[in-house]
Amino acid sequence: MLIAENLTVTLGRRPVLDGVSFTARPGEVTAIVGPNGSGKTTLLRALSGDLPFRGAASLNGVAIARAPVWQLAALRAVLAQSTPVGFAFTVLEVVRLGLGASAGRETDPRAALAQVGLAGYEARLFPELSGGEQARVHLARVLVQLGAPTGPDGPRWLFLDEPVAALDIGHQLQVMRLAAGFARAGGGVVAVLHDLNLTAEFATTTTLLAGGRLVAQGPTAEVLCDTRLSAAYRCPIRLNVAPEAGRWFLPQMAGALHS
Amino acid sequence: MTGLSLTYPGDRSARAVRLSWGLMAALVGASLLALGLGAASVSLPGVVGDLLAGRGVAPQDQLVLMQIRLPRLVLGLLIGAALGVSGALMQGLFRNPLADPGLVGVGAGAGLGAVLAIVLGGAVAVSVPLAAFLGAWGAVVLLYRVATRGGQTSVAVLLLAGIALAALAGAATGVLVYLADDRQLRDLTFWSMGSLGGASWAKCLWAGAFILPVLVLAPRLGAGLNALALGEAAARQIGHPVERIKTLTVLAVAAATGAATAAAGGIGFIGIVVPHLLRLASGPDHRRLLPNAALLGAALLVLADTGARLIVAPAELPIGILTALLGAPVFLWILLRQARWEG
Repeated sequence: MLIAENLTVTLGRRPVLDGVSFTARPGEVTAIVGPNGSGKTTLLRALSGDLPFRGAASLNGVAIARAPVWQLAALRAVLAQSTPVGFAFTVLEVVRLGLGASAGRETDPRAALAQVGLAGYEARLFPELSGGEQARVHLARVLVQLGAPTGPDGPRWLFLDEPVAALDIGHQLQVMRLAAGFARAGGGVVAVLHDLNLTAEFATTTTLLAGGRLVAQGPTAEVLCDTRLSAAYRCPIRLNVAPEAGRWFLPQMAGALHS
Repeated sequence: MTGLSLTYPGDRSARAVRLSWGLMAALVGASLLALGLGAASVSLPGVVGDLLAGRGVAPQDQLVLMQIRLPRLVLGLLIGAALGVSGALMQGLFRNPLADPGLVGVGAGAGLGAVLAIVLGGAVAVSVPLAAFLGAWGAVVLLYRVATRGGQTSVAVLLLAGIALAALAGAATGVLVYLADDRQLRDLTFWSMGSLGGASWAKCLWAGAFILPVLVLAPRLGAGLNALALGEAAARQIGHPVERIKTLTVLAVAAATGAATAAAGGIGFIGIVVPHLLRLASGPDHRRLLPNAALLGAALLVLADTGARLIVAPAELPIGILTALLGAPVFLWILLRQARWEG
């Protein structure tokens, strides 16, 4: 379990996160949604142990603020929005960095690359890849860090900050399915998402933030309702339900399809 | 990428290990050249033959080898290794291939420390390298404070801060030179030219006391510096003790740069050219880059010093001039490549 109570994070004098309580269960994808500046990334960074916060937060019973870095590294891996790499490492070398200080987990970096659709990219130089490819290399690195969705110390956790922001629609689905598979296998996934469609499709539980405060947390279908979303994002949002089978899209082009 | 059947695509570690063996051979070759060549003619095969036959070496050969060329070779090896390793460490710390201790003012900080010790500190021999170490340490800490925010380094700020630091240290050094007496001035002039000419066994001893621990420690920082290439937050998330890695790296850079500067003055560009060539050859993995940088730095400096002794023999060229002549164009070439890459 990931349990956070009354988290407050202050940057400068302004509270960017104001008394937010948050829980996430292993076996589920938990989404954090909300408008720009609502505190989503700050919440994820606090839960990662990267930011000092007031309040209490624990991961599998381990107090996040006091745990040494190696202990947190064995429990959770963090995929940031973007991670520039300082030197011209090969893709394989970047993924292997996930093995970290406490190497010994038997994860094949090449299998992780295949999982994110980058089989055969091992010898490519990281700086020469496209933004979307780089994002997936980092995802493979994060998977290598965790090794497996669960271990003797309980479930392991994937913290993803906008994991699909740099990706095309096909790779967005690939990455979200990978995250969902990780959760189904017993791991925990906490993902900051901008795409409400993907949230609805993949997240079991959703937390909606606005202005650094918690608006709602619960089953995704309950949290994502017209009134809450419209209020939080400050624009009218209408929830609709898709036809039963197949992929489909709903064109909303200016004028083109109006009768 | 080919060769051993056990290497995977994208794994350059076997290549880096092969490179280490090649560099060791080059180091032995460079050392033999340095011992055998010089203003006085000494036949190394002859000396070895004499030793093997139990005849005893001619007194003049013994003097040239044991009191002049050998200490100079040992000092050259130590300082070359120190410059190569401190360059690679500094670049790893700042996540940038342009961060060279000599270019961004760490050498100037060490120089200021050394000059302070010479002019104000009296004649205690050990105070000069110690003061140079402290000067270098202050410079690295200051640079990191100024140029690095949230674990990402701004190269522009780093280089500009380095220029400011070098100017400040230069001005302070100027004031001290103005205050110095004749004997101190002679020390300062000799020292500021950048030369291995003053090599002695005593110098080897104290330079070694600073440099050898760095050479032993540096490869252990390799895995941490690799992770640091992802930024401080990511390195911490992977489980590396980032603060400790940074502190140890700063101390190592300061010790190596300080000792090298105190022993031989400012010798530029080894610290930037060596790691860059090695990264081109076998990638940026610091676990292999750091030992290889020591080997290549040592071999290059000993070769350059032999050249400096021979080109205008029996006089000699200050080695700092030679390394700048060879290194500065390479540095410009690196800048051009980097600009293309980022553009």
